[in-house]
Amino acid sequence: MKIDRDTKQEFREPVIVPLVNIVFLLLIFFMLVGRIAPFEALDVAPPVSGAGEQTADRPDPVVLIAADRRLALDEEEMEEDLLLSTIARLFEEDPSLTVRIKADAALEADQLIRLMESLQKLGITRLLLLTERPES
Amino acid sequence: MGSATYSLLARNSQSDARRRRRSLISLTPLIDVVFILLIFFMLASSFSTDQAIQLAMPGAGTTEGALPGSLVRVKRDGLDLNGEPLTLDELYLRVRRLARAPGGRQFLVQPDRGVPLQRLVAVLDVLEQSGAPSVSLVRK
Repeated sequence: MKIDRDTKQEFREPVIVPLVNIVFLLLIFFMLVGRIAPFEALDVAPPVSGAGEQTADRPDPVVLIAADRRLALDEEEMEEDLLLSTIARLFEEDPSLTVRIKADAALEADQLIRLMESLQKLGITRLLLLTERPES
Repeated sequence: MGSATYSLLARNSQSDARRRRRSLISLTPLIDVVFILLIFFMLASSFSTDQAIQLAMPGAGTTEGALPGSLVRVKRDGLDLNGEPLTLDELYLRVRRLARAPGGRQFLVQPDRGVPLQRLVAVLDVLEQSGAPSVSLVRK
């Protein structure tokens, strides 16, 4: 009886070690490869575009526009006046500023153009519209 | 002497086994924590890289004003090129021909009120595919 239990325990021992190894490897893989997505203030589903190009990993300011026209800058929801003055200040510090716009696919397109006009009045001409890759 | 060595060996292997068993017990919370970390990183990390299209408006560049222009109007139920109703496929062919003409051509895209952004982006995609040299957005 006693011998039986002993052999069973010894049998269980080597099974768990490779499991732990694999879990460690997975952990290291996800830590290195994955990028932790930043929190977003608004729920925005960007439009699908086949022409979208990969963007450089730069810390550009991101303007979010939800389908109900609410605005947010990076992680903070704000009114349009405050948003524009904040971007104007950023633009003063860095004249080569690129603004990324993440607009909801269901937003009226002329609302986006209205925002673009406001940004252009500040002197900002580098604008990117974030899109999603079509699922194939 | 022989039996003494044997008993030493036996005691050694016994304590080895005990140590192994004890270290196995302390491994369990470690595995728990590693599992929790693994699940956290699997859920929190994203692999998608940002895709983006360039947006331009008339007057943003310096040379664009010199190009002859065409107006693409995007309506709720269709679109037209310089007032002529077209489908997306027809637009592709027409723009290809226009874009190949010497001197290039500027395309102004004007979405109607209430046209969803996805529709505008689809038209911009077609213009991009057909090689339009300069596309800018205007508001109605």
